[in-house]
Amino acid sequence: MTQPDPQERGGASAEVEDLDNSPAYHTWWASLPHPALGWTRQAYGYEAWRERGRRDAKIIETLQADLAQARADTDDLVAKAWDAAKAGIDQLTQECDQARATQENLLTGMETYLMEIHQLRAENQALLRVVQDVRGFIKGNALWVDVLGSLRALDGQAQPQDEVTPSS
Amino acid sequence: MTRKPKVSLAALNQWMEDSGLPPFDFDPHAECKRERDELRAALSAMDQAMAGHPIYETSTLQRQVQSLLGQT
Repeated sequence: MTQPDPQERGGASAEVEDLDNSPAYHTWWASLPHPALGWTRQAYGYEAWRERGRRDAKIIETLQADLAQARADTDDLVAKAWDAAKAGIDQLTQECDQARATQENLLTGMETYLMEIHQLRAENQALLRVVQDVRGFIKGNALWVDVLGSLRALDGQAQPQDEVTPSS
Repeated sequence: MTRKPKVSLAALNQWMEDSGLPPFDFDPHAECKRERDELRAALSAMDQAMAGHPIYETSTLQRQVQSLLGQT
């Protein structure tokens, strides 16, 4: 599609085109003082948008810094919590090991204790049987007088052995 | 070879108390030992009293007694 010939346009379009192409117009525009330019910018909301953009950028920057700090704090807290939990678990494990060792020692001690009691009782029963055999031997051979005399001679005086009597 | 840690009634009673059990009010181990010592003393006294007596000296009972007393 070809552009229409400028000569065929209406008067206003021709004036605008003429103004755009007019060096005088551009000279005049360039010579405008800054307040007028600022007014133009404000009129289009340029400064307000720019300021808002700056504020938003600052807010985003602050939020990003906060987020980074929060992440660092969280990592630090997690690391500390992990260390504390690990130390606690280690200590508990150590205490459990010690308690287990103590219990094992005690159990072994109890086993020995009961085993020795069992052995002592067996030994005592054997001794008692022989004591009864001896008493039967003394009684059967009528040796009481001799034995009692010997016991007294050994001890110098009557001792618990006096309990050994023929009647028993 | 079994382990043989020192027997301790105090440790045993402490464990009983910690476990909520009543502790022993006597030491059965010590009682058995005391009874054994008394029996051995009595048997030893009888053995000594009958020592030299012909009937006893020739009997199997003497060997049994002395074996039991560890005087073989």
